[in-house]
Order: sequence, then structure tokens, then C-alpha cells
Amino acid sequence: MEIIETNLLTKYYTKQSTPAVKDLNLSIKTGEIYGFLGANGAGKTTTIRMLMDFIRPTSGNITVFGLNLKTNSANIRDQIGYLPGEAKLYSDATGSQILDFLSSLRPVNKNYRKQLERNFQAELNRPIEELSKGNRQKIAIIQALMSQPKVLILDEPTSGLDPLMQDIFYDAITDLANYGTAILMSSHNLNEAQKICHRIGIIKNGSLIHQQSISQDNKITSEIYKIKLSIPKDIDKIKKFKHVSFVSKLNDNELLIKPTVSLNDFLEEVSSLPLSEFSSQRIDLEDEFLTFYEDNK
Amino acid sequence: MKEIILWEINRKKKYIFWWTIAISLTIILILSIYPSIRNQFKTFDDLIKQLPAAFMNLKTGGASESMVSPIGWLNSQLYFVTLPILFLIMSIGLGSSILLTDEKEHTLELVLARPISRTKLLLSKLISYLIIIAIPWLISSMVTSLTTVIIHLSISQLHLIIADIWLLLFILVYGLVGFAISTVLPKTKRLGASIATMLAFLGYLLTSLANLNHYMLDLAKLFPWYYFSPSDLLAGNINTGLSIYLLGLSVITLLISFIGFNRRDLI
Repeated sequence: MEIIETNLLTKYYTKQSTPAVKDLNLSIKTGEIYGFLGANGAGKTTTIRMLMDFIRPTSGNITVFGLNLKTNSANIRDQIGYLPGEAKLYSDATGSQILDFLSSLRPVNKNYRKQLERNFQAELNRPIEELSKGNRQKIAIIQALMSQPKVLILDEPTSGLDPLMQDIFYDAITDLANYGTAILMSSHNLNEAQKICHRIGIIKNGSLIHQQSISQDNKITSEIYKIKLSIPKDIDKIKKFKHVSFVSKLNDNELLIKPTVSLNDFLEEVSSLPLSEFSSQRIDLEDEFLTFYEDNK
Repeated sequence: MKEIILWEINRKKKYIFWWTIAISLTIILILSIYPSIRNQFKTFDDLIKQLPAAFMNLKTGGASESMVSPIGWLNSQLYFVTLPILFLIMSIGLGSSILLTDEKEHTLELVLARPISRTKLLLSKLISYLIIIAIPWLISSMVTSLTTVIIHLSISQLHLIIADIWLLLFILVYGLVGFAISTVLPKTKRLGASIATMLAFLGYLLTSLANLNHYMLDLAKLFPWYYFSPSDLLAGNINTGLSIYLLGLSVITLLISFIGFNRRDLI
């Protein structure tokens, strides 16, 4: 069942001619962990802030649980856990005071909250201003998770966490996903996305340029081919091929390509080139991400 | 909503405490001088009459009572300048920052990520602001009453209460101007505080000098300070103009705040 859906979501900020987010269509299902990837300024945080109704879309709409966010904002937020990017907490309060205050605004399962506090080894009795970035992030994560929400929206959640705490965080959100929570998580960390996400979307210049499922067996996403041409100028021919997708140029006569649909058609077209070398490579998410970002530079 | 208000007041405990101490001590200090003035009434009165009218207006707002009479002393030393300035600093500073600070630090998002509408959040902040200002005001009013009794300053306690209530309304309005501007235009840092302070300062200056020039008088009528006449209030005369002005301005600023905050993006 689709929990979060956006339809042609677009956001222009005042005084900017290019949109921060353009015609974004997202859908996230019950129990799904969706990795939202993109470089700095790609539009991840703008999208997340629109999903939280902190900023209003210029056009397009958002539905959560089938309800329009514009008209049901407070009701919808009753079911959402949110972790802001670079979470700043009340600096003069202790972690315990902040969690108590936020718990008073929406009931939480006290046992689950205690379990999170224990697992994350949170420093609850010192003022936030005395805590390290990682320890602040633990408090911020606990506040987002403690109500066991049906939707979790997390902006760079593992920023500042050490690897041990990252694993505890992965376990916590995987448990919530198993319980049925739909999770949208923005990240720069591709290994993290590969490790825990069921699906990823790559956003560039405000547009969602690629979405794919992450297979649970080996997390390898696709296969590309490295070719070396004996005549460098034939590189231009490849751009006219229907069944070959250009990935990146390594140097004057070496490049990475991949099939668009059919492998047979792809091989037939490639065989017409003056090849001096042909090899296949399997690429992981990081390569895939870089590929999308290097294209159309 | 109750939770947000309690949280806000709890976070401002020290702020409330120190402002209360500062204002109360100022009141005690100023009023404790009065017995020695009273004992030399004639000398001081003659001395004050020799001072330039413009200077006197800055102190009294053009009130006709002698500055060394009980009402004149309270008006010139406390209610026309000192208390408004102290409370205005507090009120404008708090009003223009109570929402903006949380928004700039993104802690507002933690609250708005819960099932709380923007209207409820703003209302909670507004009520917190009113309570935080009202606590030092209430204590300082009690200190004023008690001190006047102790030093045998001949003034009706009821009239003191009236002056205190209108003083509170007066300073709240300026705070609300700061609140409205910072709520609607959060990106322009300190704009709310700057405009509210400028309005207060101009209002004070023009009102004080209104008797000297009819242009100033016309301009002064645009500002709440013109209608704020503590000497009348201390004599038990409630100024209807001031009441209408303060009420109207409060309603307008609140409407602007709520409509603006509900429509705009958070920063």
C-alpha cells in the first residue's frame, strides 16, 4: 500500500529562476525503506521539508495515507517521525528534558523509548550544548523514532554517528520497517543506502533522474561494459546507437557503456565497432550514482 | 498547547527572574528617594520650574502636576519613562524572538513535526510571551504598591493598579509589533525588534516634544505613546483613546501574525 505519494511536486524559491524541485513523483509503500540520494543542493532537503509541510510546494501535491497534506497537515503529522538534517536541539536543555517535552506533544511507548535510550547509550542528563555532535544526533534520532510512527522521514540520519551506532540505527529502522513503517531517508552515504534501503531514488537539480530497487542478495545493481576502440574517432558513432547507453568516457578511445534494453541488440551494435578490447564490469550503487552525476555535467 | 507554554516559561526562568529583580530594584530605588524630596518640596519645585520646558516634557510628557507631587513624581520618575523603557526592552526583545529564535535554530521543526497546527503553535508562543511579561509586571506592580505604602506616598492604590494595567497593555502592543514582524518576515533578522524600537522611541520623542510644535503634535498622534498619559491614569482617569488605540493595534498585529505565519515557508 502506498503511504507517501507526491505528484508533480515543484518548488521555486523566491528570486530563483530555476526550481529547487521539479515535477517530482515519489511513492513509498508500507514497510519500505526508500533511500533518497543526491549531491548537496540537489533538492533532497527541500523535498523533505515539503513532505513535512514546513515549506509549501509551488505546484503539485502530496498525499500521505491517502490524505492531502495541504488540508490534513496536523492529522498526518500525528503519524510521522521526523529527523531534521543538522538537527539542532534546545541547547540549554538536557536530552531527557527534550525527550520528555516532545513525548508530551505526542504519546510514546515508554518501554520503546527506554529501549532506544539504552541501545544508543544516549547521554540524557547533560545539557545539549555540552554534548558532541554524535551524542546530539543520538537524541535527535530517539525523538524521531520513539513514537513508533507509521511514517519516518529522516534527513541525513547517520551524520556524526560512529560505525557502531550506525549499525544500531540500521537495526532500529529495519525493525520499524518490518513493523510496517514507511521510511524515507536522505543520505550521501551510498554504502548505507545499499545496506538498508529497499529502493533508492537519485535526485539531481531538483529532478528525480533514477529510481531502482536494491536486490537483497548481493546489492549489485547492474552491469556495464568497458570498450577500447582501435580508431578513437569512432566514439562519436556510439551516440547514434539505439541499444547502447553511454555511461562515461575514460579517455580518447576508452569508454563505459551499457545496454538500453536487449543485450543481443546491444552486442550486435557494439560488434560493428573497431574494438581492440571488450570487458564487462559489475557496478555497485556508488558507481551508478557517480554515473548519473557525471552524465550531462 | 499547555505543554508548549510550560516548556517556554520553564526555559525563560532565569530571564524572568533577573528582569523581575532589575525592575523591582529600580522601583524601590526611585521611590525611596521621594521622602527626602517631599521634605524639601518648595525648594525642589522652584528648582524644577526653572528647567527648560523641552527637558521637562521629556521627563513628564507634558503633565501639568508638579514633578514633586506624589502623582508628578510617580509619573516623571517611573511611569512615563523608566518603567516603559525597561518593560519595552523586555517586551520587544521577547516578542520579536520568541518564535524566531526557535525557527532559526530549527527547533521549531521538532514541535511542528508533531500533530500541532501552526495556529496552535503561534497561539502557544503568544500566550507564553504574555505570561513571561506578566510575571515581572505583576511583581513589580506589587513592589510599587508596597513601597508607596512604606514611604507614605499619598496615592490611591486603585489608581496605581489602573496605571499598571495600562502600562502593561502599552508595552505589550510594542512587543506584539515585534512579534508580528518577526513572524511574517523571519528572514530579515532583527527587523521586528528594530521597527518596534523605532516606533517606541519616535513615539516617546514626538509625544514629549508635541507641545513645542504643531507638526510634532500631529505626528505624535500616530503613535501609542501620545495616548499614554500616566499622570491621568494615576489620577484615576482612564484614557478611552489609549484603550481603543491599543486594542485596535493589538488586533491588527495579531491578525497579521496568524495569517502570515500560516501562509509562509519556514526558514
